[in-house]
Amino acid sequence: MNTFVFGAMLFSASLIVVALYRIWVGPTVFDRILAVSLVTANSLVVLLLIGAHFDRMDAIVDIAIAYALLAFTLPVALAKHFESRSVFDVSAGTDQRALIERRAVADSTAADDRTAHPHAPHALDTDADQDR
Amino acid sequence: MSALAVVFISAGLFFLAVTTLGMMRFPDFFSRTHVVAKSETLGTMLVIVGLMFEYRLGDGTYKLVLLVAFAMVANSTAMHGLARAVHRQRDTDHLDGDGTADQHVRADHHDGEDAP
Repeated sequence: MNTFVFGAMLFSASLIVVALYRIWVGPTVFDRILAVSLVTANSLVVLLLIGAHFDRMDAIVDIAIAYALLAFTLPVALAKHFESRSVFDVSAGTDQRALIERRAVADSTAADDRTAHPHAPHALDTDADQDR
Repeated sequence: MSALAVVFISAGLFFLAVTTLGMMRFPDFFSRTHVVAKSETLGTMLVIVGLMFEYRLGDGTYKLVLLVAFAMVANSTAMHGLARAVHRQRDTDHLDGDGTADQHVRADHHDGEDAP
């Protein structure tokens, strides 16, 4: 309809593209859920601006309400799902949790053991080569 | 296009851009939750209010009011549930993805357990 609404629509769409980077690199699954929530909110804005640009707000508003209701259920349902279940669940087939715990213990205790007990045998050196 | 609509939509886009910048730059999960819960809600509300000024729908304007009210309630609720789910998890080692974040969360659950 006019250039301002069209520019605003393009700007919101570019914000969606930037937010996809957090979905790609996000360290945890919760960061990805958060980024998906951000993408859905920006998509709602883009949808309303599309309706304003093509002068069909009366049709787009109903779609926007349904989209907002559906987008609300996604972070809540996924948060409840991942709250009850550990992310690195060993029984689910991924053995990453034990590996991460072993690395954390090795990082925290290796330096202290070598300074306090210089002649003590390193229990972490023996099985560190087996894992890596 | 009225000046009020331009002002409100521009302010809303500014807050949405700030939200995306915070998602890129903030170090840990809880600060990202904070920026999404507040700034994104305000940006969405401002854009919808700006559209309300320009595109008078007659009887359909209450739907945009409903969208503003729902954005105000639902986004905060979803982010609160997400942050609570992370906070309640016993196992929080996976939050140390970038090395600098969440030292306080680890200190709550692992203090004394890592001692040999």
